[in-house]
Amino acid sequence: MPTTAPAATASAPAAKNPDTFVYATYGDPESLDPAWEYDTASQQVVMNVYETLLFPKKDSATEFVPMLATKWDISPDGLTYTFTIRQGVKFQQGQDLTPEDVAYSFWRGMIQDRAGGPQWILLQPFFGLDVQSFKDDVVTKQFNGDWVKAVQALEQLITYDNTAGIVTMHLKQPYGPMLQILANTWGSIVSMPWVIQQGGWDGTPATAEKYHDPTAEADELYKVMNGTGPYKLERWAPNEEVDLVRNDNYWLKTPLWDGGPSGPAKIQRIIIKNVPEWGTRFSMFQAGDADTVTVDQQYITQVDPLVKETCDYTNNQCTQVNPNGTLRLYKGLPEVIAQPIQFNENVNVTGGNSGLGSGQLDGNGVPPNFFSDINVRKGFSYAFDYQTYINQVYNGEAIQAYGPIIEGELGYDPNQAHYTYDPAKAAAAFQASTLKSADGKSLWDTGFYIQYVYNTGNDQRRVAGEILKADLAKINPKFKVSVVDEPWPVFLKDQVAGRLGLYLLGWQEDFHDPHDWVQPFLASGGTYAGTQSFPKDLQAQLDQLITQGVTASDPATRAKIYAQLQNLSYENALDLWLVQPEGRYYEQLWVNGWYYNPIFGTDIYFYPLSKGS
Amino acid sequence: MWAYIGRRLLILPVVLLGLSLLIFGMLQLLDPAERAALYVSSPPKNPSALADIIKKYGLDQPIYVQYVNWLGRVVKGNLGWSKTAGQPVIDALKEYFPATVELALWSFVPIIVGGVWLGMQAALHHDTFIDQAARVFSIVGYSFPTFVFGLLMLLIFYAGFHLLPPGRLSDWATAIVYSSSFHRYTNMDTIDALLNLRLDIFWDALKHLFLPALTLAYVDWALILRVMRSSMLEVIGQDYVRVARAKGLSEREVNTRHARPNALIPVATVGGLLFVGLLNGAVITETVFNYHGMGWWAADAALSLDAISVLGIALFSGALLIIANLVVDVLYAYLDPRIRLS
Repeated sequence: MPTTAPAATASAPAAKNPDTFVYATYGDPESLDPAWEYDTASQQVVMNVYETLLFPKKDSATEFVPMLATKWDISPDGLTYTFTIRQGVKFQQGQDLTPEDVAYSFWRGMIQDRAGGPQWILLQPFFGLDVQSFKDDVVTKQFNGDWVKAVQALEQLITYDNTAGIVTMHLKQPYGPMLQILANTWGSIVSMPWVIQQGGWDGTPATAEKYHDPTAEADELYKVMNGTGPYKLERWAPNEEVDLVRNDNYWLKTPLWDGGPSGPAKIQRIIIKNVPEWGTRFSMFQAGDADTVTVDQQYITQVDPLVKETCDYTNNQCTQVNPNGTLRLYKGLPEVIAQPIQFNENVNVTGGNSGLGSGQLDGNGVPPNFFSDINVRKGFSYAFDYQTYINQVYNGEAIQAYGPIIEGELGYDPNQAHYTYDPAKAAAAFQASTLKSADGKSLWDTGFYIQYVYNTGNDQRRVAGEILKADLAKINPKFKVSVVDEPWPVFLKDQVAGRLGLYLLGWQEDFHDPHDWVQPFLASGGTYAGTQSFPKDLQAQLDQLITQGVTASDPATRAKIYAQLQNLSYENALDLWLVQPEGRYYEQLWVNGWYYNPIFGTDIYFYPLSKGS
Repeated sequence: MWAYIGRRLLILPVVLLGLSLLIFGMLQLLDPAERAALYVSSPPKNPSALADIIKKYGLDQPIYVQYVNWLGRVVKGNLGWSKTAGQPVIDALKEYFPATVELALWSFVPIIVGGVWLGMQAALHHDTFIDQAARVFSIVGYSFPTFVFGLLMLLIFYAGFHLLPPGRLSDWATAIVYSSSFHRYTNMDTIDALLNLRLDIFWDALKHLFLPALTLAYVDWALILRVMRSSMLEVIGQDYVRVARAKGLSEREVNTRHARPNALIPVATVGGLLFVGLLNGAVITETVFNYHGMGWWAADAALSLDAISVLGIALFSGALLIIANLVVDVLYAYLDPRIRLS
């Protein structure tokens, strides 16, 4: 088969609407304020309109190029970051970019810190690793409820010098992923005078409290945008579409990396359409009215017959698979997502809990501390048929996850010891369990019943439960699992309250660093680990290593620490790690310039794209 | 008649108050953490975030406080903020209701005209091939799952022939409609296009309306056909129709001038209710065709447990239903002078 780079495809059809790029997907932004939003649909818009101090170097997830900063220096102790701010950059509505805008953007975000928002990511390097909330942990705990003093302290941590053109950040402790988090959308720079004009915070400590934790609609930047990026917001029709138009005065004149784009964007108009119904999206793709669409795993067999060439995302080389096809496919994209089945070692049974059946080991239930027995956790981990799951749910396009740290991150070792489907080892582990029924019988002889819970509508999670249920029954018919779905609100409430014993939840990374994986899954205050009740001595060890990992500056040292954490997760069978999926990206043949960077996830950076045969 | 209309309008606020109490009460069956899930799309990173959200939106307040607060805002014309629509409920109603009215109008005309014609043909050719064919045609439409028929239409006419796209307008037309050069009088694209003298946009909007209107029509033809057929069969056996024939009138005149008007009375009742149903939104059709109207919004709001939107939509739909029923009653009395409203 001939192998070509996609741009050189000679027989590509003429582009439909060459000046407009249509992306049909599902999901609607929650807000267009970079400090407020924390969802991929919002980030899809924000990353194309606003810009950050630094930016991922093309497809690299670990190298960065200067964007709104021209350079940065890090002090030897890792506590001070000094950024030289680029001159001559203008916001889309004409304001000049100043160092004060940069400092203000970070102050504003951390003061705003809306509940459930992204600002904890910035608060931790500046105020301490245990900080989750500006109001509760900074104002209340560190400054005795004095908002003015807390804001003054914040303004001392991030200072600016308009004359020298620099911004300096003083960290509470060295923070390994600092550059990663600054390159993400919550590090977007806004124009201070423009925000004030929109009714936002004026930058004085005395007025800051009023701007804390607004609802989406009460936030001054909810629906308006003014960034320095290659596209401007033209219209957001909520739940319908977001229209962006080219910023003809875009400041970037020299490519940020060899062969990178520069000057105004090639495509004049971007339309991001919210089309939840797959049949409609697919029809748009077939008709050529969408340049790319989101294709979920279960629909790839419908789209694949239309693919003309499949391409390797690492070198952009393509192979023709169907001369009559009209689409291009990139596959094997390592997604930054993982989904473990989680064990709760001390389930909350206040007011009763049907998820544990009878609530005791009598063959019709399990006690709340069922999973505190490592042999039980190991038994479950050996009992799951990983390859069947990968084949059934992901059509073989996933790799088994070995722990919280995914492939491509510091600390990941492809040779890490991991659990494989081994019914004999599973049986041996269950037989070694010290759990006894009231009449003194072993777990093996008594059996158990427990509910496996997932959120309604998530078929991938349902199938994982069905496989686990069948595999356990094969090992011992007395091992009974009931696969139960709960509507999202109920599932969320139960998970947060620690009422689920055996359940599946996923994680998509916030920033590309192992800290963003070990923190939620292993730290005592982590999103998931926080409700799993790990043993105290183990938890202390995990917390200590997590702190050492995030505060170390040497990558080799960090890698060693994270490898240790990965291994602890394995040795203690803390979760049943399933897979890290490989994604796909389909586009019309007339689209050029797309590349994959795991930092963007499924979001698209439109600036390098062009359309034409 | 005026007294009757006045009385019916007077009970409107009472019914709406009862409706709001009912929905509010039902929502209280969910606990605050479940209702807060609307604002949390994944487990919160900060363990206290869920509690903060509950407090921020007042979900932990007693039900009567929440109800009184909500009612106080409604009395001032503020129906609250729709999380699912991303705008105030009032604005969302102004946007989505005209879209649904437009779809209802464009589908209602073919439903009635087609259904009445088919019903008449079936009745006039009672127990012949035409009768059977008309009934089979309409029954197939009635039993065809709407989403399957809609998707089939999309695959054939849009994906296959690249005609009749989904949505409300093409991208080029959307850009014009939302520009300052185009005035949106009614938020109904076909009507606004005509008022702006933009025949290209009118034609584009019509192309987008064709398939959803056809889908709705095909489903509802069976209903109108059956009502019209049975009504017509009854009427053409009446004495006055026989008299008309005996007078020497042509069969056509007998059917159109004497039989059809009376046969239409039950069609008016059914048609009125059908139209009200269409105004409340066609959930499946609007979803399949990515047509953002009331049905699409209502489904999204209900699935997301967006209480404020659900309340707003319910109040609006309740009022609509009462008023529409009133209009049907009045229309019924007009069509049949024997009926007196009291």
